[in-house]
Amino acid sequence: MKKALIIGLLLGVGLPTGLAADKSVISAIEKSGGLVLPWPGEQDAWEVEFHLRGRDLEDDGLSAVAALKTVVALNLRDTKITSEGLKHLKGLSKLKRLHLERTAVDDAGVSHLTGLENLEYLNLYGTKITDKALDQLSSLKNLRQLYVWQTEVTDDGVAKINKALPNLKIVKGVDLSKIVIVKKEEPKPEENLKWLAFGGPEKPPAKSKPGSFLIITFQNKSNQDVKLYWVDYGGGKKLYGEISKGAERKQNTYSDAVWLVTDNKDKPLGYFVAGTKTALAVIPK
Amino acid sequence: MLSLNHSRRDFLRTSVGLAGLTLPTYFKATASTTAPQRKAKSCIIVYTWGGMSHYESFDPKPEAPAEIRGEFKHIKTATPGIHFCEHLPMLAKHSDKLAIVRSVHHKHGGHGSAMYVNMTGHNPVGAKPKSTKNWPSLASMMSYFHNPAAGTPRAIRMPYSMFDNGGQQSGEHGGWLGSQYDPILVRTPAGEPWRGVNRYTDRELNLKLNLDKSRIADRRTLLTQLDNARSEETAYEQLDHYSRMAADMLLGSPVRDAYDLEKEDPKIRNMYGDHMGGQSLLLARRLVEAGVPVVQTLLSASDLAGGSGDNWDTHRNHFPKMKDRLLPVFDRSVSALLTDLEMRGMLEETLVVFLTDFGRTPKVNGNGGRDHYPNVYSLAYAGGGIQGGQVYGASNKKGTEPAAGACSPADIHATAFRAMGIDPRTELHDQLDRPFQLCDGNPLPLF
Repeated sequence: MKKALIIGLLLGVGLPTGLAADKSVISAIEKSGGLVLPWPGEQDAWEVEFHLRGRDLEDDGLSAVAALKTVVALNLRDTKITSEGLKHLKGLSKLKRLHLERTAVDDAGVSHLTGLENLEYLNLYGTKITDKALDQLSSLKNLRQLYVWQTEVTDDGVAKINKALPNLKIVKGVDLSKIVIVKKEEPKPEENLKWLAFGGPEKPPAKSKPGSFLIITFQNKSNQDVKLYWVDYGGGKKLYGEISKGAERKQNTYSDAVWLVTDNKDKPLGYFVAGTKTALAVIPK
Repeated sequence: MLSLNHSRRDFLRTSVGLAGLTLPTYFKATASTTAPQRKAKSCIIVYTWGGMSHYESFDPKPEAPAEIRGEFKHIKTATPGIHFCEHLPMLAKHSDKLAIVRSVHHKHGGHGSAMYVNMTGHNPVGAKPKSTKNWPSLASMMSYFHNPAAGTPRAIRMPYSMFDNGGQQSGEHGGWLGSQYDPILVRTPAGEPWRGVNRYTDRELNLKLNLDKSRIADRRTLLTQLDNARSEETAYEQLDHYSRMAADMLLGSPVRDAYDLEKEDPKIRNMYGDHMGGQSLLLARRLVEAGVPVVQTLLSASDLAGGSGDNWDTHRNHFPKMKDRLLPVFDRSVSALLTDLEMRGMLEETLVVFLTDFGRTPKVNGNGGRDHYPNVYSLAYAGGGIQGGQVYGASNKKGTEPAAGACSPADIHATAFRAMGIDPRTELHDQLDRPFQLCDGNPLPLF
């Protein structure tokens, strides 16, 4: 195919060279970390993405994109581009979707977009734009979706552009400053679990049974560091942790679970069996 | 009152709540074959294990007799004419983003078979979970059509596999596509755990973030050498799939950062709720954002354990369990996900599919519970180019069978494939090169 093309060029035949031109343009974009995908349903229409593997893209790199005139969708999320770089996009007259979220773009950058008449989707969340940017975008009659969460855009600004572009859907998102983080109080122990000393008269069940969720606080009041094992549903031992002398450990568990306490040489000291309530388990001296 | 000249959406609007009407042929005839203009880039599958009651979620029956209607009331949503259960107050505000399907049905009364048919769109074959005789899961099939960069898994599932009384269930793996198409299991690293029995027996990706990178790189070199030497051993290849993925991810991919929930804004984390359910959906969003094409999230404890614990198999104490444990987590976490996807401008490129085993029986039983009911149940979609604010199909007045738009899990799959730009009739080949048609359902006209 390459050969045919070269021969064709030599003969001066009017070959459809668009494809060949695009190939070098596409490889230039790919070199700067971009992914070029055919846009579904249209001939010679492209989607270009930098947001996953091309995040090191800087302003200069956008000139490679500008060379591919038939870009329909461009994703620059999380890249290092600035407002200055957007001047390269001026000639992309087919552009319908543009992702600029989480970049350093501000109002000055948006001024480069006012000629993109076919733009339908513009994502500016997490940028430095203000209401001034929205004023500039009011000329884009085909704009249908605009994302301005986490910007300086105000409700007044949104109302204003909505008047100019009644079909535009503007997503301003939730106001995070109004979200109050509520810390849940941890449940307090409601009972003390009985210590079943190893070799003592009272024996624990041989294995745990599935039950409902609860928390046990193990307090090591013995005069040595101990290890904590869960006796699983098959009777096997599973190490959950070590509790130093005098320390305590909050342990998620289930009702009817059997817990084995050993010294740090795995010599069994005793057991606890979880009840149905949040509990305290004191490892005695 | 019905004529084929009605626009499809008009018909759907008027059919909401319409009783005694069975028009499956109508829907088959009009199931539009026009593809959406754009395809969704990624999919989040949300599975409520055990069988979510249609009465106490997306299809309340306020006019049914008390023994069927149950204890809960219904509430208005943001969409006129659509009502949800009163314990989904946050989600009700997002009905404009949801397409509810109220007329799904199948013939499988047991959890394992029902999960299999919902997950794969095909009838179970009775093989073990990891058998290549099984049909691949929806996540696995969708992921087949994606080939993300090194270090980005095709599909991830979390936080654990589905079990019933200790037995792992079939339907979550790569099946005849091969284990390299098994969605990769990861734990959700935060949130109050689901109460009940949670099992971690599957091989899962170890995403401990503090491993020494040079050691991993060494191991990977070793692995490559071993790989060359022993490439024909199937068991080894399986191991290799995980190990290489783990190494790639740990060596600095966006996926590794996505997995670290500590890097998320605490207020966003709070919006999803301090529960593993919410944190799982938050993680799903972060993974999709990092380029993972398919993420499957289990919103339930792992083992049904005879109906004890936080799963949707509510044979006993159905109402308190739904109200106190299950619906609040579902309501908050799903609402947060939809809010989050929307304000980041990701919703139309992200298909969210809600699946469950089946619905629950109309009559409340003697233990205050509802039992298994595959005759009719509700599922839902959001995003991915599917129009929100609509209900497809209807169950009858008592919620006992489809009254309009009866459809199957295979149709639910076909719709999801369509949204992802995948032709449901695509022929795939297993490892012995035998042909399989991806899906024999028909896409529902939801676009």
